[in-house]
Amino acid sequence: MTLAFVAPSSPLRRRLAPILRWTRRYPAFVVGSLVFSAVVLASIFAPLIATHDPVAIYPTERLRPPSDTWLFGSDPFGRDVYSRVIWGGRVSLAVGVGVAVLATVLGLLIGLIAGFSRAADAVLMRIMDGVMAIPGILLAIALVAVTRPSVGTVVVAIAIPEIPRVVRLVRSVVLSARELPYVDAARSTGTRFPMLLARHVLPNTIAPLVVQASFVCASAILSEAYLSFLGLGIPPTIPTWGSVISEGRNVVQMAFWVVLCPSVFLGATVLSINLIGDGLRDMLDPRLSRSI
Amino acid sequence: MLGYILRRLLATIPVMGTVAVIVFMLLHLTPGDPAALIGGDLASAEDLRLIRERLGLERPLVEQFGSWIWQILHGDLGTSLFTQLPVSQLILQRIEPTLVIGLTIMIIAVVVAVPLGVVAAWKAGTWVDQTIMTLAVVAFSMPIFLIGYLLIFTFAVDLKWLPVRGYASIASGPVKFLQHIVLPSVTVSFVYIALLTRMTRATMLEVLNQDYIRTARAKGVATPRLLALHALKNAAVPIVTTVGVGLSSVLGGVVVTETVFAIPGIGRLMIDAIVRSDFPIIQGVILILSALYVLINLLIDLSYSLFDPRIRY
Repeated sequence: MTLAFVAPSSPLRRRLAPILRWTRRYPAFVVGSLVFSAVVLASIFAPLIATHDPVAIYPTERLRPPSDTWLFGSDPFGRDVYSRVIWGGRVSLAVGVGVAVLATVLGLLIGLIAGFSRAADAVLMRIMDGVMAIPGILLAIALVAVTRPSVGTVVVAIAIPEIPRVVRLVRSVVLSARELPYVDAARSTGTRFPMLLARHVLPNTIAPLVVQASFVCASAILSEAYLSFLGLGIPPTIPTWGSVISEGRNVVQMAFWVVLCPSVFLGATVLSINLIGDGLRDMLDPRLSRSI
Repeated sequence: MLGYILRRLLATIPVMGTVAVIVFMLLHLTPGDPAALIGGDLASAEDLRLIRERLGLERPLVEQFGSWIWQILHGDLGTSLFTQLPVSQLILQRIEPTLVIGLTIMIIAVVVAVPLGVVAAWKAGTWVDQTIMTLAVVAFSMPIFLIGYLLIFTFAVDLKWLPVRGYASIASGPVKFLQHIVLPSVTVSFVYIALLTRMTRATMLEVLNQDYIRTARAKGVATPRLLALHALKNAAVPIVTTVGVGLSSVLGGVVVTETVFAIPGIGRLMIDAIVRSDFPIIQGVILILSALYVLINLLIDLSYSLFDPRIRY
């Protein structure tokens, strides 16, 4: 029995070995996933781990520095910054994921049409060039300004400027996939278009789309924070990272914690998603990862 | 060359046309009455009628768009609903800080990012490369206000070297002017530096693998000369392209910075206009900044022949 000669190790260690190997190979991805999971868990369990009601006002407790009762201090209205930050994560994550899904799905649809139809391609790509010429955050600001404030409109407003990049990506994948020998072969043996699309072209788009979606998600969370910071978008009754920062803006010299704590959460979340995106690209497309 | 410039100029027309349609449609995107949107919840029926009349909202949409674009082509961006001043005049009054800071950001980013990217590519795979790339992804993820407030804290509140907020125009003397633009420019440049560093590294890696680089090395070209002349010059076109494409995030970032540092630029003008539902200003600012983006990218396209003599038009 050769198996008996394998170096003795505890079952636990044997089970951990592949994880350790992975950690060593993709350290940034593992760190990113851990941080992101922590933020997700904190947001899901916000009602349990928040120490105060995020909207409750304690007029006598304004601008308290961080302490045992006020973990991250209190804001100019006497609200608990820690609880507001924990609850604010829900909005940020919802917007991030919502935008990533919406922009990816719409971008995939438009990109497929542009990739397969020459006539539509010219028109669609000119429109995409136009959308890309408008600085994304400005377009989102303007779109939010003309709609009623809600989480839904913010998701749409942030998703629209993100669509062109997804479209370009999908279109380029489709254009090169169309020339692949096995796609040609499938077409010449009479594979119908829906089948061709689903079996031979779409699978090529999945890896780059997943990577792109994670970057869209990170940038959407930043955009939402900028919108809330400028006092636009999400109704002021809902705590968000951007709105907490905005409320601390005028007291930053005497109460830096109001601005600092949500900013650090925001930065850590965006960084963790970008690290996940980089890691996914390394895993899914080893060729690309070495160059960029 | 002249033919190419003309062709490129013509190619910007559909882009700017699409921008104009989007900007025009902003007001008509919502299912409700644009007049009600401008007037707000407290507007009476008489107010709404006046708004409709002044903006010509009762005319057919195509006709409205036609006269709007006709005005814009004549340099008339409309009149502010709130101050009754021409939008072009308001934008001109406030555009200096935005342009100055935007330009400073680009200069800082190129000066910092290109050397970093070159070094990262040259030392690819080593700890130097890994450190630079890690810093780049961190810089790319940091929200503008986190960087902004940290810088304010260190250099304005703590060390008192620089002013906390505000803007001093070029006319008020070079020292005061520079003091006011340093922090906001550095703040936004982080994202841009990250973007450019990654791009520079990627293109340099490709170039450094070329045969002529090996030849140059073999004939004894010193490393600095090799990197700067043989490699970087050949990587210039994609890097310069990124400078143009990234400009969109700079212009957007300036809007946020202007709020962080209380700078009276056109970003602040637009945000204030949104609070008052002053749509001509919002539309004007977006049009001007988009036109700026298209113009600079056009200039960058035309500059390719400077970097690569093989490109002839």
